[in-house]
Amino acid sequence: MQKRALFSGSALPYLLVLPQLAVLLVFFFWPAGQAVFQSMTISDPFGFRVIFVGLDNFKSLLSGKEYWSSVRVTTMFTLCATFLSLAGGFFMAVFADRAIRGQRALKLLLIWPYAVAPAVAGILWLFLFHPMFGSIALFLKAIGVPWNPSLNGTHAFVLVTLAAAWKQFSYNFVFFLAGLQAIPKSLIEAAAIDGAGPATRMVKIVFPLLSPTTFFLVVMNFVFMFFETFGIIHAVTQGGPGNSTNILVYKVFRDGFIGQDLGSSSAQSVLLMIIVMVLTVFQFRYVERKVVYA
Amino acid sequence: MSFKLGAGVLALMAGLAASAAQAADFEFWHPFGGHNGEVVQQLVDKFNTEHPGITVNAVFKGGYAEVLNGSIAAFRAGKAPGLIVVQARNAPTMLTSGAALPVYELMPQAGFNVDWNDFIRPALAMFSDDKGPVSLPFNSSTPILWYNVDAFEKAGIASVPQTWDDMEEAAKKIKAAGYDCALTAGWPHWVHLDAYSQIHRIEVATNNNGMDGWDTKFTFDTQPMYVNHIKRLKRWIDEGLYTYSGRTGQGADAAFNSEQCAMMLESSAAYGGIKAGAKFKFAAGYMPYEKGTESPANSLIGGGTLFVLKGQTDENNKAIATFLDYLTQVPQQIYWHKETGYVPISLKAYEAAKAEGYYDENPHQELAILQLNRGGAPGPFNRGFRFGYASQVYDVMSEELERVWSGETDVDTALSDSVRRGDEIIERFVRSIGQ
Repeated sequence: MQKRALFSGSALPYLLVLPQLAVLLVFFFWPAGQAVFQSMTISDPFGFRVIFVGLDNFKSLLSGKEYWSSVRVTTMFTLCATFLSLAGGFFMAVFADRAIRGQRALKLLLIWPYAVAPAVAGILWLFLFHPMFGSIALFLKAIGVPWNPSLNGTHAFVLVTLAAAWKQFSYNFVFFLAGLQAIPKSLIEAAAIDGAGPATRMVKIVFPLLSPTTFFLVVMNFVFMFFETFGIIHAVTQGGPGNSTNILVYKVFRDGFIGQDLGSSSAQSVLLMIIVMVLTVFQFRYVERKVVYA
Repeated sequence: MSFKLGAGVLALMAGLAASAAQAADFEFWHPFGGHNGEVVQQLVDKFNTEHPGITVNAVFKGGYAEVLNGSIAAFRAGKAPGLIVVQARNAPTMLTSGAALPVYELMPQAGFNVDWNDFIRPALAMFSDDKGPVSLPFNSSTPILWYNVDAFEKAGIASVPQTWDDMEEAAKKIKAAGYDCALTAGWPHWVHLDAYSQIHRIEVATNNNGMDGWDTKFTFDTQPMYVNHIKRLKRWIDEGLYTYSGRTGQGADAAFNSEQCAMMLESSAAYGGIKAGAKFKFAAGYMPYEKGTESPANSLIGGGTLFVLKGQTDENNKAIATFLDYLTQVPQQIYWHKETGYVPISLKAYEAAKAEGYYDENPHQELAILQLNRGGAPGPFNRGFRFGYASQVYDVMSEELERVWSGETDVDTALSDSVRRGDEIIERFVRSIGQ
């Protein structure tokens, strides 16, 4: 039988959610509405002339190959960086979970990158990999790798992907570690007694029991890679070279705030909003079915 | 959110403080950090001391983009600063905006008689409409050739390269002398498209490069000289004679200062950084030109210019005019020039610096001025560029060139792609201004 707490009147619950609704209205719905309106206009930056153009901004975006190249870059970037940071976080969590001595210190050190702002993380990686003065870049050159992210798109892509994955892996680490520690030792031991080796135990017991955590993290990582990596891109590559790291959210900024084309920029943010909404719905409808909530 | 609330309270307090003050005061938003920022502050402090009753609040806003975006946001909110520094390439945004108070109106109204003929011509040409100068040139620079004198000696290069052929020869010698990087460029787009085409009077876009009308079409992909120049650069990159170091000056400056690159095509205003960073003997020469060019024309102006924004009180406008007049005076111009490497904007200031003997010791500081003023009055195709949504246009061109350098595409495809994409951007701009 379900427990229910019922309020007698109907005003109080609405009153209680009102502050939250007000915040949502002012900081989400109002700007989102503005963006939708602006996406159907072409205007000069100072806002003297606003010309309504219907869906022209969307048409010109979707018919040009540049937007689709940005979609491709974003997809690749999100998948690679999410995979790397999830795998890294999981790997570290498994080892930290087993560490016998210095676990607290280890945990603290592994959580540190999360405290670093994306832009700062970008700069840190740039300092290591800058073709002119980066210490790792100079090492790569010395062993014969022609490392140059300012010219080679693949190098630039690898660099921002690593930086983003590194920045986010701590977050994954924390959740995976908590998830691992919540798995009853008795289950693992019972399986061991039944003759399951470490690999089998990992696949048959740990993975399924961690699936809610993993699912949650995939959603969070996707959102992070889509939006929050702006600082990394801005600090490291500014979307270049060519278009090789021009992810969607950076393109919104570049076309709107550097290029002064607010109409196209708004159209892009509306599209981005739709993409993320579709992606999230998809994740909850289809991926979540495979998740075991123990 | 608490940040936004805090900022709101601060803004409110600032508003109260402003309404309490009687005398004229206005904000001056600029993109100068570090050493140049200190120099600007010095100029402002001196002005404030000399003019009781006027307070100029100089605010460092970050880069050019932050100044412009901040100003646009502030303008839309009705709290625009009085005076802002706008990057030369973004001047068109301001010229068509209707938000700028032209200096040709402001200065006479405030009782200042400015001798515009005394100004550096390419700068004035870029920032004028058909009635006169809309903005006041301030931090003006132009690309020149910086070189490492020690490296030249080591490589046995006797004279400064004049033509692009000389450059190739010099680059080969430098390579042979053991340098990894013979030549690089800061702001490569500005150097290799803008300055190159101005010096050789090449049409980049119709309507006289946009100067005679906003509705332009790009033509540079059909200019044999320009196409060949890009092909040559690509060959140099493949042969290791030219090194690409990004779209801005940062990478090139670092490579030059750390003696990795022996030659650098960069802004004359890179001087401050080189002076502080280089531990070797350096010198400068003119931007190279093609062999057989009879008289290379003036090169292109870069840097920033001062726009006055509408919406200030008459008192404040008068104060802004007073400040602008102060900035154009010889002592301020010389101080700015010597400290930053930006060129003096008036010929009077240039002559005064010359009379002091400043250029005997710093010949490279004079080069930029001579290069900007050579070749008589700017004619067709060397008066500057005027493209709407210029930042986007330049981004597109830089992107496509990067594809060439990395071997992703060939020169002809990249150039026709950038013309196609550039034309689309201009079309959008023309629509946005209702033409």
